[in-house]
Amino acid sequence: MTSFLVSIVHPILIQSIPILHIMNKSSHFCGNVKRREFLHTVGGGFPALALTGMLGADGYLNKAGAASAGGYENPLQARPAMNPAKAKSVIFIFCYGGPSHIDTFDYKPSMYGMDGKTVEVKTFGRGGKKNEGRIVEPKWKFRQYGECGKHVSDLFPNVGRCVDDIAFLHSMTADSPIHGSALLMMNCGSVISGKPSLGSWVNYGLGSVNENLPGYVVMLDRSGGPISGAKNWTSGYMPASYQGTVFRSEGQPILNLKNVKGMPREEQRVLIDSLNHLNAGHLEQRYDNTNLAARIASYELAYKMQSTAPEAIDLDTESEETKGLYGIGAGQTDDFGKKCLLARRLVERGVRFIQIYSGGAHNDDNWDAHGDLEKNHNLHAGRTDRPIAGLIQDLKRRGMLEDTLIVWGGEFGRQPTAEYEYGTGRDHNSYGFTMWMAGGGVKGGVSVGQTDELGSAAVENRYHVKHLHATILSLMGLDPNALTFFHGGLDESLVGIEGASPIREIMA
Amino acid sequence: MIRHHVTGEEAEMSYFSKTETVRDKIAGAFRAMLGPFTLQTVFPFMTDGAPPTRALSRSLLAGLTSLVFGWGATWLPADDEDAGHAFYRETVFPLLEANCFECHGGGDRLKGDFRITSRAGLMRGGHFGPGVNEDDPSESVLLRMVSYEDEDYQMPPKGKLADADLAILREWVERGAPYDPELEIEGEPGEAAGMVVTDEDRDYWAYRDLSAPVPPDVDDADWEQNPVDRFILARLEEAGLEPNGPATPRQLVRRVFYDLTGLPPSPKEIDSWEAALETDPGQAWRSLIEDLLARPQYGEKWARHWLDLVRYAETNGFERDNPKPHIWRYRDYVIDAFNRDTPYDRFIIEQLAGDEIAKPTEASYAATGFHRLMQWDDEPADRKQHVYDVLADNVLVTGETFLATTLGCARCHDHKADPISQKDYYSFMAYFHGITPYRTEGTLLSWAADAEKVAFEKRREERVSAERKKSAALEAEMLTWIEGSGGAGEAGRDGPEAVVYVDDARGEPASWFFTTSRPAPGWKEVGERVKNWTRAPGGFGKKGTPNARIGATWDTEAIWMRTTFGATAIPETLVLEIHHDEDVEVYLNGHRIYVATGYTRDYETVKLGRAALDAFQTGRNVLAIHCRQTAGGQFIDASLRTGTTRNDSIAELIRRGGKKLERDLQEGTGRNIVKEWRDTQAKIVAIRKELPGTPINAVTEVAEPGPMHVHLRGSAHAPGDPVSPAVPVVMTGPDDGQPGIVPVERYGFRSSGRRLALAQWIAHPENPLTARVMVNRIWQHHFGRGIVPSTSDFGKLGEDPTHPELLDFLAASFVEGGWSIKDLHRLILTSRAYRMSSAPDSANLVQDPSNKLFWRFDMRRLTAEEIRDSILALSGSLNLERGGPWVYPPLPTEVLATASRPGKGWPVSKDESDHFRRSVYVHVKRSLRHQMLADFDQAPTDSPCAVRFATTVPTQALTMLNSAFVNEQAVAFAERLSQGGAVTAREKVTRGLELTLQRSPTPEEIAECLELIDRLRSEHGLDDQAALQRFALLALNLNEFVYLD
Repeated sequence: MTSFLVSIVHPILIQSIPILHIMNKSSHFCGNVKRREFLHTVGGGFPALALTGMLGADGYLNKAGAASAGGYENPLQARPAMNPAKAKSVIFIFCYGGPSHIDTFDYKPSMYGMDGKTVEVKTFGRGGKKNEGRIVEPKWKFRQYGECGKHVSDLFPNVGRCVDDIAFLHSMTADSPIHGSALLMMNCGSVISGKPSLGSWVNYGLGSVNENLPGYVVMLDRSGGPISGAKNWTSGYMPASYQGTVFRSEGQPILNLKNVKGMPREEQRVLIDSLNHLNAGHLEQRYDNTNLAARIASYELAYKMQSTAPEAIDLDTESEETKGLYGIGAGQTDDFGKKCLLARRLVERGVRFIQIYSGGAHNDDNWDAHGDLEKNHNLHAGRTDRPIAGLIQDLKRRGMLEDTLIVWGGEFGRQPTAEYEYGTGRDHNSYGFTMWMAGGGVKGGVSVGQTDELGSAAVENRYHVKHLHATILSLMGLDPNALTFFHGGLDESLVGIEGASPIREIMA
Repeated sequence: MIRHHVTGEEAEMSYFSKTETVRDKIAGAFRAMLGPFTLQTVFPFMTDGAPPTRALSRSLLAGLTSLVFGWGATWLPADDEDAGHAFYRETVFPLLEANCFECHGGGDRLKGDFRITSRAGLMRGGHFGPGVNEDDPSESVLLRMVSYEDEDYQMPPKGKLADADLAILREWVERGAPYDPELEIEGEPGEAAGMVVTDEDRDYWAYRDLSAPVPPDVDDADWEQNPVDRFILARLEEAGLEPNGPATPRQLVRRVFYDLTGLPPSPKEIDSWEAALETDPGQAWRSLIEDLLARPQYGEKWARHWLDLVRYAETNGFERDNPKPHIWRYRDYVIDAFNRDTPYDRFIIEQLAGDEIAKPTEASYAATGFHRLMQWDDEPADRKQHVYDVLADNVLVTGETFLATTLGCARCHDHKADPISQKDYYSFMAYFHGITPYRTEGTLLSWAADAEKVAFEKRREERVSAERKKSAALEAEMLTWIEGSGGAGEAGRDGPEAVVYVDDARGEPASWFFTTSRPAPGWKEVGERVKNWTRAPGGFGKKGTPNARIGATWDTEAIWMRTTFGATAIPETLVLEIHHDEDVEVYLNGHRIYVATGYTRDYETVKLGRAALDAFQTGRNVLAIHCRQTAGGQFIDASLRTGTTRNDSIAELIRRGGKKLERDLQEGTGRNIVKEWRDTQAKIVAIRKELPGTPINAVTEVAEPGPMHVHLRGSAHAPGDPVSPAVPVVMTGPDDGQPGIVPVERYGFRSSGRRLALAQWIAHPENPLTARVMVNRIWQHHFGRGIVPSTSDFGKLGEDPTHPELLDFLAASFVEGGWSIKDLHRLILTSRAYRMSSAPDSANLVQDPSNKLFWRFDMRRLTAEEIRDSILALSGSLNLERGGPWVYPPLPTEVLATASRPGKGWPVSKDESDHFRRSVYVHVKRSLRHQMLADFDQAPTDSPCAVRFATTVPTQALTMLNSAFVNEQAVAFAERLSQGGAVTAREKVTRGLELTLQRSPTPEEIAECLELIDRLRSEHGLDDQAALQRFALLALNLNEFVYLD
């Protein structure tokens, strides 16, 4: 639940902070450098100064990226990127369950009229490995949109109108066609759990520009979290401070934001004042201990968050036109529309990484269309098409799209063939699927990679999840191969020991 | 093209392809060599095709290839050489540059350790061996990779090359892979060189034998309280640092209470110990240490340090994140081990091999839960790989925990910093290779003495028989009635005919493939083709086994069998009839559909559930069975069919007859006969599930582990050289052998003995790493930092010891003293160093700001568990009940809502007192952590944690100020303050601060709190109790409460 950090003590060196570890290029792999060179020792500082520096920043701590005064360093403070950044924030729209690429953005004209035909095709999904199957032809018509003439299915007529801002990746592959491990793969880069999630890496690499809000926010579907819950936004072996914070679009946005005993804000102020006095007395004899000062500061930040966070989710200040753009108030799009608008508001307030789940819980509560494909995808696309298009348009007209990266996709795609003897349900497919990106340094109106004519596997310009991760990090100004965290004798990175290059074809 | 097949007696030799160009070239080359001789005189077979002997062909072909293709040599006619260079320059280079150089040598990364930019790199090869096969170019790794024929080896990864490009590469390889020297790009010298362990490697401080250093002389001899102090003081004096003075008695009492028990002292305790320490500091201090070490809370506190190291968690993770049944016995084992002061060597051996030791106990079996703590995916995308992912986790944890060696680095390639090769890694993994894979329901075994087991099983069978008789009588009665009535029952019989997919030996037995030696892990999968298995009709066992019809003899410990059948439609129901020996697992298409322990005396009918129907597929199906037996007669046979039975199962009749039949039967027989029958059935199932003794989620092992190989690039699908169990070479002396392995055999138990061999090597008194690592951990948890700060990495990427002699002194004392952890505590705690004040000192801070030399005692924040437990202790709610199954305290709805099945997997404990148990007993669920504990940096669940972070973030403040838990406890705390004689607000506040801070508050502090209460009453309209509750909340939020001096 926690995010934005005030201080981390890694007892390897008391009062030392593991700082961002950027490897030089000649020493990739485990490196040959003594760890302590990377452990920044924070010596006897002056907490009063540290506090002043911190509280005086008024929510936007150290815009210049300089350390706070007096040797007190906030590891989540905004940090300059390694390389020039194209994107400042990411909004990852996670279509949990696995949307069918051939029914959404991967146009397969030759499949129409093939419904029911048995075809020899190697598939691997929940139902195991198969060598043939019954074709389920795409259940929606495709139309051409935009100047680029991109074919988009009738599931996404509104997103269709934004294709000139979108780069499609039709040749995605992942290591697993099973939800549990595939979710971990898409979020944390490995089918084995315990690794930090993409958002944690971004926060670790760049810090947060608004200390009154979490730097990494996750919004879940009403029906529940994805499989493995918090594992999907974990900070893994990194400090808990880098993990995603679950943010709700209604009520209390953050856990424990309001006192359960109904303590009003003014009363809490009185209590925190007394607490500060007593803590200041305690600190006097322990003037060198920056952690004590940090803890005092954390209460002030918490106090501010209690007003900042509700303000961030207060959509009343938005115009009706804007709300309409997102489909707010319009039945099935209302909920997702609010989340998309909230995402924009959080980006405006400096939140680095926002993940919005479309779909939660199990089966047809998400995109996992094993039974009735049409019913399932009509529902989930119907809920999200307009809000997503609204988000793109709104960001664009506000000039925010150019440095806000939108990522769309699920943990995998779906098979061209039926899962069962009857019906239109498709099984999972990690051999080939589509994701797309928009804004934040991505070319618009381009499509790269191809699946075969059935859409069963990527055949041209195949990209792996780690290439997607490398692209996102690169656009954020982070070198995916140099952004490492020393753990268990290894310089771990999101893209793994062998590294990965970003997908340059789509980078502007 | 040259083919060189020399496998098997019928090795077929085909010498030349029909490619004329190549043939001509070879012939041309030979003509040039041979001069006047004709080809036929030297190599008659070249024209008449008669095969030469194998030896001859080998040597000739080797000569041929080296001469003609110039492998390694440079012999090529000048014009050919130029042609080769040109071919490379003009045709091959652009192709390689566009598709291969990025990862294999052009840039700054080298994937798979393979460089294709130079001929040396190509021939040296990478993880999969040389790029070109000298003996058989067509079999070259390079060509295999680009062909895309094998799913696991496909290059370039972005997509298959065009056919024309493939043809170029093929031709290039056939031409001997000529390079143009002008365009060759060499790597750094020594690239991809194999690892050789040198004497220098062995002389690294961590691997050196333990010395027994004499405590050094110091100037201030009076400072010393015990030998530890001389090591500390000597370094301080050397650096010119003045050690801090002693902490106050109250500070010390609070410090050592938390340190040893994780709980605050009571006001009475702190008063009396303070008095005692003022009277006779030495004696009182020793008594206090003894008092605390004897408390059961000591084990609860110190076990948690250990649980961090072994990434203790109680569920499997992934989609279902099921609990690991009974795994809490491992947690209790660790707590007990600390409380009993189990010698550390034994502690090691019990965890690694508690089942293989001479006289295993319930505790030693529970200890082997060590091997069952890892995350485990019940439906991995790649089953084979996941088996090794789990083993790799075992290797990683064992290496880091006991040896402070980051073995995990060497899974994919040789360790980049430490002299640990990939071969070392897989040799180490081989120690664990016999462990049976984890299962959904856990790898439970029930612990009981042998005699007790035998008696229990006899009793159980008698009880089952009795119930069977009852059941048979009821069935007969019902059938008689049904047949007599000609009513509903008859209708019930007219169901669809049963489809028998696999018949058993009572009918026309299916044809099975079987083996009695452990097959490769994929043996039960549909896609797998078994090799060297025997085929026989069903019914496997020994003659004389009751109710058994033997199709083929099976008299070994285990059998694996599989048969296939076709199906055109998915049935509605599936029934397994099985007669099996003790412990059977049945798989359908790789999915386990049935598992049973114990043996049966006849065929049993099992109605299979959803899992089986889900696994069933149209087309080809594979039914596979694994059965074991340890003693007595033996038999395994099974049939699989649809739910309608040929034997008129009463169950089917009742199901189809429905409520009406039940009613009719009740009227007709005058009693609820269906219920009686159902109860009997349920009872049989229940009795069969009973096991003697204690269920333990323990390690289980096969007696003969399969072969273990190096996994190239860490892939289980790319086996390299075979390896046997061995410890890392650098950790053995140059002339030392490897630990000997003796298989373990006892009544009803066989095991490879590998883990025992490893455990004994680790726990050997002469293993210098083991003792150093453990004393360093103990020091770490007393002082906040290890003498080697990287407590789980003693390798070159870790840090050097700040006090190497002290480390060795402690380690030597530890081993000599019989590995007693409590003695180690005594030694460290009675030092003066431990009792120093934590106060800052301006001069020392300048010189040694991070207290590297221990000139003071470091302050520390309470751990997550200590914070929660202390709050409960202060409020008076703490329940000190010990051990047993985990508990589920309530979690905020918002936290539960993050799960994909909100609320599932966290059934709040019904007994409210369980909500207030110590944190070590709170359920550790991988996908749903206890929010407060996780936020205060409780160790992660998926990787070992040697040093916890201590973060300070605003959400912690939100938890402490606003959460239901802290506020409820604040109310209880306020309630407590109002009891026990305190009447005025001043008295209550004073008592509250005393309880929170374990000291007398100053008048200013009391005044501050009274003012708060006043303001809340006067300005915010709170009543006395409500205001006191706010004060209680404030007290729990004080820095001094969560930080120790």
